[in-house]
Amino acid sequence: MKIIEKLKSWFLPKFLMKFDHKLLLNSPVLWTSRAHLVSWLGLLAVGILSLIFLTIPNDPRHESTIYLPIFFILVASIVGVVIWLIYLLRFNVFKRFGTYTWQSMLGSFFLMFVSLGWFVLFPFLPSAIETYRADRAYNSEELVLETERMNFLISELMYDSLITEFSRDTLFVCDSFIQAENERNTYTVENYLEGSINICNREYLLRKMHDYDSIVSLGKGYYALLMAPNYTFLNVSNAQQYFPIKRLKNLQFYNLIHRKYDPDSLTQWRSEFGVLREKYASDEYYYSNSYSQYEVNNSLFFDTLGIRSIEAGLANISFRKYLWRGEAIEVFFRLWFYCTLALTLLVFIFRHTTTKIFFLTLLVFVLLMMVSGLLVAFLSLDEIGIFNLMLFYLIIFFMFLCLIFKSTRKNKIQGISLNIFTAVIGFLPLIIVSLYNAIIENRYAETPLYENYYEMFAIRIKIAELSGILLLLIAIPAIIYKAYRKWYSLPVE
Amino acid sequence: MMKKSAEIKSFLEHGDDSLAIRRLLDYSLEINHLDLLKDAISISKLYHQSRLENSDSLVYSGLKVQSLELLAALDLVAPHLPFHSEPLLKVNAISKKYLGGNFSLSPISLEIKTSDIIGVVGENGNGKTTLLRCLSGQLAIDSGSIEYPRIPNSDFYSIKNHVAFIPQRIPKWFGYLKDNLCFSASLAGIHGAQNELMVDFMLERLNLSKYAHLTWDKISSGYRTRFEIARVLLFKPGLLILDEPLANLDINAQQTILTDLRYLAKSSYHPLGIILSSQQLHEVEKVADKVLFIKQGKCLFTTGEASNEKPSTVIELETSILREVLVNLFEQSDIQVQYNGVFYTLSSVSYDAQQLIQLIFSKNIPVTYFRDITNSTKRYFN
Repeated sequence: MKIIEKLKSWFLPKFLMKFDHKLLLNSPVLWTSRAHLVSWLGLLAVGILSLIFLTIPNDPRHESTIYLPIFFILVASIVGVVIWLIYLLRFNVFKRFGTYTWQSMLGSFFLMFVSLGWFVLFPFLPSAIETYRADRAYNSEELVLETERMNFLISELMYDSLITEFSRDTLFVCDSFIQAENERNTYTVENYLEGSINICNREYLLRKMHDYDSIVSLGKGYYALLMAPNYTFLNVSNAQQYFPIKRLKNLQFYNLIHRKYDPDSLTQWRSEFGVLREKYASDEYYYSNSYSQYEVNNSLFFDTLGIRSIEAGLANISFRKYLWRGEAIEVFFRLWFYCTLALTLLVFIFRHTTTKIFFLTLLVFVLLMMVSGLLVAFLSLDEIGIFNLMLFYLIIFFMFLCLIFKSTRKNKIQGISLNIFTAVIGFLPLIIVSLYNAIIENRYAETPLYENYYEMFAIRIKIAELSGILLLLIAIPAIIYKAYRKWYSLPVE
Repeated sequence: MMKKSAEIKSFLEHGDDSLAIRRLLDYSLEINHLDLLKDAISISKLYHQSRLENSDSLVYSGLKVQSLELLAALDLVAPHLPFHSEPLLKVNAISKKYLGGNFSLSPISLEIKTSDIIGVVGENGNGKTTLLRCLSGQLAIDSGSIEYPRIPNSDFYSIKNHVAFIPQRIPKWFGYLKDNLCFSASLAGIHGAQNELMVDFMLERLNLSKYAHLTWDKISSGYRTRFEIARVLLFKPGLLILDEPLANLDINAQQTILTDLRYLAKSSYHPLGIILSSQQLHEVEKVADKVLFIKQGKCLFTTGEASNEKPSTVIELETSILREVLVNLFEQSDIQVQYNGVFYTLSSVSYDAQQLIQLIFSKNIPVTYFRDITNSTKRYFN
């Protein structure tokens, strides 16, 4: 007890304790959630963790070592949740039959979400700070330009070992279906394999010409499409999204390398490359499948200049620097949001039902999953069947829930139905949209999906997710509040 | 109000300090003057402090002066508060049978108004707790009806907000005692400085101040009962139902709690109805306006209501003489003598209690204890 008091005096300033006491005296719903304390301690924890992860040595060129700290932070977060729960469950306005309006229930839900949101957030912190540090250490412009420069230097320094032979594709251009069929019978049509022949029309040829460095007519409708060797040994494709430059085509780069080659400049180039290697090379050896032709022809090619280490360094830098950008943020947000929502729903249900019914609900949920699994297996249900089954369950639970309003005694089945309904109502739009998507996919099973199907799919899912949250927020005052109030206060048998 | 003031003065003059201080607190609360209530709380704190430190009579005399001054100030601002008794609960022939059990509660009817105290007595396992749980809305009834006139169109949530039930085994609570009290007051809509004041009042009124910063594990079961009473009283229920509240209390604490309950029920600040069950028949009968005796699920007797079953005078007697001698002494009269191993029970139709006692003394029977239980439910225990 004394230790707890001491910790309190260290971490909770007097103004916060005064505020806490004020909440106790004036707003029991806010006070019981302890969201203010969690938020304060959460901010402190974020500050401390940030300070730690900003100060400990962390070279963006090396492979990330944050997985162990993330594990420990995750364990600490779980301990934090348990401590918060101990404090939360001490006082319950609803179960004490205090003044508890639907606004109280909604507020309580929101505050629990905020509190749990902090705990779920902590494990994400190390990786976010790592991104921040990598972002500060290297900017996209220098990454792109210096990678290009390194490609040039590698090519010049390894000039004697460069592959100079052009790659070749052969096309047969025809204008009629019959002619094409005749040719098809003669050759195997395989794309992108050297020596193989593609059959196409003139339009395709014109379009394709832009992708190749050179085209040679072989006569009788046959064309050879030639491509200069690729001297891109290092690549930072992530960075190019954020600093787009007009890159030289293979042939232009090929010409540049050969035109600029000057044996007298080699010393200077070697030293310039040395500086860049120092800047980007990692301790690790990175094996990629690219440029295997060099590995086969000259295994020393990469070892001589330590290109694999630079590649590893660039990959690590890229990974860290761009992890928290673009679609990844959406993924991380979803992960945080749904983890927080699931935990909030569990705690919310526990706060409004009896302990016995809460655990019975969990048991029923598990049993239902098992029974559903068996049903899916024995009836060979497809996606549509599974989603329909989910909707069927929801309707049944809703029907039992409605019986609460007519009931004069506390009924276990009604209590369990109410809990499950509360847990899944927010996911109803997602189930409906998934069912719709499954129906569409089923309809187009034999033919290709329409052009913007996947874009529409993503939009529909987003709308469903937002509608789910909205539905839950509407269901709380409209149904859940009234049902819990009625059910919990009913006399027992 | 002036009567109350005179009563407190009398307690102070006769040295009934503890009672005087408690009544002074009640009086201050009823006047509802915050400054005077604070003064009363300060006096109470000083009193309890001096008790702890075994201070000499000088401190007491100083407190007495302060108390009298406060009384005078209270008298000056005391309004005339007309008291209206309101019906709180109307129970009409309710019955209950447990599923798969042999026990059933036979139809019972009763009514309780504000400031009423109803005692429910009976042997163990005869339906007292079942009745109380039905009345508090915890247990569903099979037939009959329960009305809560103060909450029309009531749902069970409102009923449970209106009716406070303290079970015999008080459920464990967590955190500090004072935090729990502040929380309860806050739930009842008492906010800010008034919340703190009311909690201080309740701590002093039930002598819990020195336990304010302790947790459940660190207080005795008797104080847990007191704490629970403080907690529900802060919640301002209309009806308070207590199941065996005296079970964990020593004899002094029992009497203090019962006296306090009586005063709280009849308080003009927040009068409430109280229903309590207990095995302490005499103590309960002293404070209750009505006592229900329940046996095997049936209400056999209600004090104050005419009964045809046993109209005779009954007294309890403890004496050193042998039963045979006692029987012989009353052979010529209609006096029946029964012995339960501890006391003799003497019953008669022709003698009233006064005459019966005179008769006992006239026959030189050595008496170490006697009690008139003619109007007590005790006569039904055998």
